[in-house]
Amino acid sequence: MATDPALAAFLALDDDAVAAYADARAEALGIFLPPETRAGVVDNLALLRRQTATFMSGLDDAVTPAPEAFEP
Amino acid sequence: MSAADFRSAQAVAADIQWGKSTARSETEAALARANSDPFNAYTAVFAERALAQAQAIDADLAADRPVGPLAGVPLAVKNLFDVEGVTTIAGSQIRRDAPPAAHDATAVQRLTAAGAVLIGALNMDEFAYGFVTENAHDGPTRNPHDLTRIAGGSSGGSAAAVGGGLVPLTLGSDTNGSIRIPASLCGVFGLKPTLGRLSRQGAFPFVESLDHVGPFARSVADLALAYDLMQRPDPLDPLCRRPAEPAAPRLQAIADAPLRVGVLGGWFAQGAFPEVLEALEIIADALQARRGVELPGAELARAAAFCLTPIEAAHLHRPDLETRPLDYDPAVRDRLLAGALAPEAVAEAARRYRPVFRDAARQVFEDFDVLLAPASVCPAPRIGQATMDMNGQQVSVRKNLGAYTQPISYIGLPVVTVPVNRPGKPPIGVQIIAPAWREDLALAAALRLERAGVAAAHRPPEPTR
Repeated sequence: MATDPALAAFLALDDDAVAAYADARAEALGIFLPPETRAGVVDNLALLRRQTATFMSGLDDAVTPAPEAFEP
Repeated sequence: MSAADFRSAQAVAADIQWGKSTARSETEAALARANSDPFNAYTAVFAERALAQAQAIDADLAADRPVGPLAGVPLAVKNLFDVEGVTTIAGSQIRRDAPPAAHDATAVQRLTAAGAVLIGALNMDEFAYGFVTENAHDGPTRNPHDLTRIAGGSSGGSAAAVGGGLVPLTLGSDTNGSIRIPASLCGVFGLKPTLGRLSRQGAFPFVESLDHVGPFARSVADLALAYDLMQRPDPLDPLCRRPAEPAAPRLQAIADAPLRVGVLGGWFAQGAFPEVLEALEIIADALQARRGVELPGAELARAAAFCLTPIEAAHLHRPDLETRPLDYDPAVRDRLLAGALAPEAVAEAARRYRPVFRDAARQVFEDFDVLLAPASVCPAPRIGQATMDMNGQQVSVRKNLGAYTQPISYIGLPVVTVPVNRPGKPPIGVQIIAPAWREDLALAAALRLERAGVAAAHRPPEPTR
């Protein structure tokens, strides 16, 4: 599906590129990553990227409804 | 510890009503158990408040004034619920210097208005982000059935307190499985209602679009009573608008009628330990369920919930993540920081998949009244255990215990977790999943299993230290 550019860039990352992405995002957002957090944050961000790719495979702009006020 | 008490909430209430005991004596006994808690379930005990409430109940009974159905019944709540005059720590260090709550949370108000006596607050994963209740600040909650093992989380204190006979009734919250996982691992009944059914007002938020609150108990009747007492709209929670639909009066009739039951396959059959599948079979046989029902998109739903969680939670925590990140539990902090760095478009996409998966579930429910699935991948892991075998691979315990619960809470369906009656074996629970707003169906199926002796919250061994 066509995606938001930030989402597309995130999805296109290799695991090896996630650390640099995390540093760049942290700087852009003004979030300080203490050294003792960096490895854990990068691991979790890589996992988020993989999980995002998983559920994005089920989204199709042609049939997927726009975000709604969700009702169970 | 003081002698554990495995009477049901309604048995305690009856004993008080009939003069076999008093609210004060029940409260004093519950306070004694809380003060010698071998499970590290409690993080705070409210003796003064509890004794004052018990005294008022005894005075009402002495004067023949009406009392509520839970009059004198000990209650404890996860420490993310507001309790008037107490700081709501939500399992964190960061909130210990926050001002005390001005009022009780709505759920606490409604149960105490029915006479429940609030004994204390219970341990949890920090900010409800976890399935283990190995809290970095308050220590791990221990499983009443084996003190070397976890109670599950994030409402681990709530499940351990009920399972270990400290109180008959507790409250917890469930965003991705935090009622269902600890109920399963501690061998008690737990209800995660439909999203929006019970007010979350005064419950410290984790992921607002996924947060639920619900009760733990040792019987279906107690679970249904507590649920009914908490139902009705709350103007202070915009999601909680639905009129009350009391379930308890209808359960016997529904339990006696035919139920169309399916066992979820696919994602829900992958990676479970053999004893979990064996427990599921026991429940499926008892309900004459059809096996191998597919819920399309479950793996994707789990992935979407997995991504939505840290991104939405990070919004709430952004100020503290920026100023005092090292005051968080490291296991929570690193996930929240990752969520803060991920593009917001990931969360938007994760929200977009919700109605897709909800509609798939609605279609499955055209053929079934309830669906069964394991609650947890495995029985309780050991405290400190980092990894477990799943599908032949070593995977993180913390990140995978909720594999079967996350897809269901993602679309807000009601679930009762029932403890499979396997005396002498580690507790394992099964999810009974119902269509939205049909908690009565899940509770009735649980009641049928309880009546048949197939589901039971059996007593753990006497704790030794």
